[in-house]
Amino acid sequence: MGGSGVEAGFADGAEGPGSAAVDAGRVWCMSAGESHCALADRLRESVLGSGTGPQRMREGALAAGAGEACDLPPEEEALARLVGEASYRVTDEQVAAVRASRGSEVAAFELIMSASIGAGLRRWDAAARVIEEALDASS
Amino acid sequence: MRLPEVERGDTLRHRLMIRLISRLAGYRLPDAARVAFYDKAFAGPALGAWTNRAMRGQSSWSVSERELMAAMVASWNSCPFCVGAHRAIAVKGMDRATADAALADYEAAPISERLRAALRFLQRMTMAPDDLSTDDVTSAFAAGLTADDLRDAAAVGAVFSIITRNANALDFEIPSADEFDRAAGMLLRRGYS
Repeated sequence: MGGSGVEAGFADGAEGPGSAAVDAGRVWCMSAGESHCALADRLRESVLGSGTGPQRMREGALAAGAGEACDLPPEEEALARLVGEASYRVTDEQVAAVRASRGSEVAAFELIMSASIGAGLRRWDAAARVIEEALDASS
Repeated sequence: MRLPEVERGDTLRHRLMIRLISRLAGYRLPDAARVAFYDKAFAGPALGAWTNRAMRGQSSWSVSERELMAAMVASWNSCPFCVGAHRAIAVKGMDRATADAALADYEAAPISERLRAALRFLQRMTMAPDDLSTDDVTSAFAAGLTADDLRDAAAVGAVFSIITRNANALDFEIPSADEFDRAAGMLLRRGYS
């Protein structure tokens, strides 16, 4: 994991794969052959290592969507957290504000997508962890 | 749809494809498909690959059972677009009354104990992931699930935890029941990636 293609996305010196967010998800991928684990890893890396918006914004939204600490500007953090906690309460105004502050629709899209992925991977990591723990306990 | 460029398409090719598919299908291309066309250098293809593996790849769960799981996750996440879309696919291979009974109260619905156990695990994973424990896994195993069965169900839960949030935050337009039904046929034929 974290091959050269992904690493290249971090050539600007920003924090890349190998961060806590990536490593936390790997702990429970007990076998390289488990395709859901591999696909979850690939998705996590696609948020951190690809996209048009700033890498720090995507990484911050991934963390906020998972309920973790982040260093996003307040209105972006508020939107990313709401996507993670109660996405049905997101408003037109919140999305428009991020779109306006970033000056780009694609940045707003990537913030929302990154936060959604953070929330989904948090759940995958939790499920994969307890399944492996139960198997370990019974062996 | 809160982002007009996503609705319209971000390249000339995508704009033409959205128009052409809408014209050939005879209904507005659903926003989920428009999102799949947008910003393709980002995470969409990786999400599509995992979604297709979870929903159409090898699994002991039938396609209809997995689509019902997706609709249930959507229901717990208050996502009417995804409830409608995935209920419509589930009922292509499952009795309509059974799917609706599960959506209303899966504990009382006439579904297999195996599927009910998977839904219990998925509900906790969706709504209180920090409360998941080995007890939830042990209960699922006692109902006859294997670790792979549970991982396959959890993968459905994970990808629809993502898709439902995206749909809600972007405010996907809700198609009519007839449009959901016609789009369901397309998703059964073409898959998710």
